[in-house]
Amino acid sequence: MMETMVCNGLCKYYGSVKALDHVDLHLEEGRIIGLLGPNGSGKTTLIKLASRLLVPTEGEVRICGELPSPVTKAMVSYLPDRNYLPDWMIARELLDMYEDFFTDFDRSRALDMLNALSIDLDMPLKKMSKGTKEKVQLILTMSRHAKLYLLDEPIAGVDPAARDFILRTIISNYDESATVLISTHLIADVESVLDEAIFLKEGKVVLHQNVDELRDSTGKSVDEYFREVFKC
Amino acid sequence: MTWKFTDDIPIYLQIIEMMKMDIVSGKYKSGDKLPAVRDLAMEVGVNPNTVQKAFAELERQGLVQSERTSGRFVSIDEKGIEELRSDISDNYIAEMFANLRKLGMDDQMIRNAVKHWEDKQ
Amino acid sequence: MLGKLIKYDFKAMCRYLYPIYIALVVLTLVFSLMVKFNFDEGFLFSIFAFLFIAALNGSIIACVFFTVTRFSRGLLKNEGYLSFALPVSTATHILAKVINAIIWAFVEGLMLCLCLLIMGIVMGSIREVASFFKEVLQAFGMIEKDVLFGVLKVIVIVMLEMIASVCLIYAATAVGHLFGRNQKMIAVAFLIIVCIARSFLMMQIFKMTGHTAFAYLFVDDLILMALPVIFAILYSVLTWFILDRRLNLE
Repeated sequence: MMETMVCNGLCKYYGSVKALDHVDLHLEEGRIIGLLGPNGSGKTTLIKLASRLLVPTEGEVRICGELPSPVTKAMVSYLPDRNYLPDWMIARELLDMYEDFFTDFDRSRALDMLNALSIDLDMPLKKMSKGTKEKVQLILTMSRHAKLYLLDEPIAGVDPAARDFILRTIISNYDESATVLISTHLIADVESVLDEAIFLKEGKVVLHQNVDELRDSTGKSVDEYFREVFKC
Repeated sequence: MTWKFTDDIPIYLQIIEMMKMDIVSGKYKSGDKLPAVRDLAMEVGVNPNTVQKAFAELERQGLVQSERTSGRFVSIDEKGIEELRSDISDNYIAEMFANLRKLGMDDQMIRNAVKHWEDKQ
Repeated sequence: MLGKLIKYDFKAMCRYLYPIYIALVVLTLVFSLMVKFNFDEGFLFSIFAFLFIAALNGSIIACVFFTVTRFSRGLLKNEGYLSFALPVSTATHILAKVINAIIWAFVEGLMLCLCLLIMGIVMGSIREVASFFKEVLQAFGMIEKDVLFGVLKVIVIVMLEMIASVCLIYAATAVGHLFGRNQKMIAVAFLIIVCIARSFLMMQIFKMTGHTAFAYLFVDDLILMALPVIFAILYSVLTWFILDRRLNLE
C-alpha cells in the first residue's frame, strides 16, 4: 500500500507556542481520514505544512515520498478554511484559471457539478451567497485528480443540506489511489464518511485508528469517544 | 442521505443489516443486481470503503455474488431468503422478550400480552 | 508557469487601472479641445484643468499603488492561500511580480505619451506633430554617438533604478509580513532605513571613486550601472527568504 503522506517528528513552533509537537503519521492511499481536534489543536498548522504554506521547525512531512515543493503542490489539492479565490472573477474564469495552473484539473467534472447546482457561470464570486461561494471552492478543489486532498474545515458553518452536498461531493470524487484528509471539529457530521480518525490534542497525535475498529473496541461512536478524550 | 446510523455499531455492520432487510422485504429479489459501491455510498452518505467491506461480508455469508464484469447480484434462493427472514424475526422476538422481561414480565405474561394486543388490533 | 502568473496579474491590474486610463484620455481630449477652441478661461475650464492634472498625477500614483497591492494581496493576504498552493516556486512568484511592475511602468509611460500625442494633434495639427517627430529624429541623427550613448545609458539606469525601487518596496512589504501587528508601519520604516543606508553607501562610493553625486548618471563606469542590479538582487533575495522560509499567512 502506497503512503500518500508521511510525517516524521514534525514540529512547528511559534515562539514558545508548540502548534505541532513531534507528529508522526502515515496516511495510506484510498482512505478518507478525519483530522479531528478542538480549535487550536494544530489541525490547520498540519495542513499548511503539508501544502508548504509553512516550513517545519523540526522534522519533515513528505507527500508521496517528496518534501513539499512545486512538485508536491501539483499532486495536492488544498481547500483552505477561508475565501481564497479572487472574488472579482466569474465562475468561468475560475475554471480557466484552475485549468491553466493544474494539469490534473477536470473541467467537465467541475462543470457537471456547477450545473447540477445551477450556479451561474457568469456571476462574479463576490455576488454569490456565502454558501454558494464555499460550494464553488469545494467543486474546484475536488475536480482535480489529485493524490492528496487537504480539506480544512469544509463543513464549518454550513447548513445540513450543504453539508450533505459537500460530503457527497467528497465521496464521489476521490479515487482509490488518493487520500482525503478532512480537518474538522464537527465530528458527528463527518463520521459516516471516514475510514480513519486522527485525534489531535495540543499539537500531539493522541489517536490514529480505523473508525470501525474504534467503534468496535470502545462501543462508542467516534463523536462520543472524542468528547470523552477532550472532556474539559 | 436517507439512512440513519446508530452510534455504537460499526457502520459496515449496519449496512449489512440494512441490505439483509432489503433482500427479505423484496426490494432486491433473487438475481437482482445490487447498486455499485460508489452509488450506494453516495446514496447513504458513507465512505465507499465501508460499503465495500459490507458487500464483502455479504458475499462471505453467501447472500450476494459478484461477477467480475457485471457487478453484484443477490444470489440466495427463496429457501435462503426464508431462512434469513426467520433469522431476522428471531432477533426481533428475542429483543422484544428481553425488553419485556426488563419490565418484570414472565414468558407466560408476555404471550398473554401479545394475544391481547393482537385482539385489540 | 511564469507566463500564466504574469497573465493573471495583468488581468487583475487591468481591472483597477483601465477606468483610470479611460478617464485620463477623455480628460486629455476635453482639456485639449477647450484650449483649441479658446474656451480657456472661467470656472469650468479651471475645473477641467484641475481634473486633467489630477488624472495625470493620479494615474501615476494609482499605477504604483496597485502594483504594490498586487504583490501584498496576491501573495500575503487570502489570495496567497491560492498562490502558494500553485505548483510554482517562490522565486517564480517574485519574478512574476517584478515583471508585472515593469509591464505597468511601460503601460503608464505609453499612456502619458499618448496624452501628449492627443494634445499635440488636437491643439496643433497632425502635420505639425509629424514634423515635430521628424525634427526629433533628425536631431537624434545629428547628435554625436557619444551623447546618444549617454542618453541611452541614462534611460537604462533610470529603468534599472526603477526596478530596484520596486524590489525594495516588495522586500519592505515582505519584512512587514514578519510582524503580526503594525505591518505597514514596519514596512515603511524598513523602506526609509534602507534608503538612508543606500544613499550613505553611494556617497562613500562616490568619495572613493572621486565623482560627485551629480556626475553619477554620466560616469561611464559600468560598476555604477550595475549597482541597481545588485541592489535589486539583494532585495529580492530577502523577499524570497521571507516568502519561502518565513511565510505565515493569517
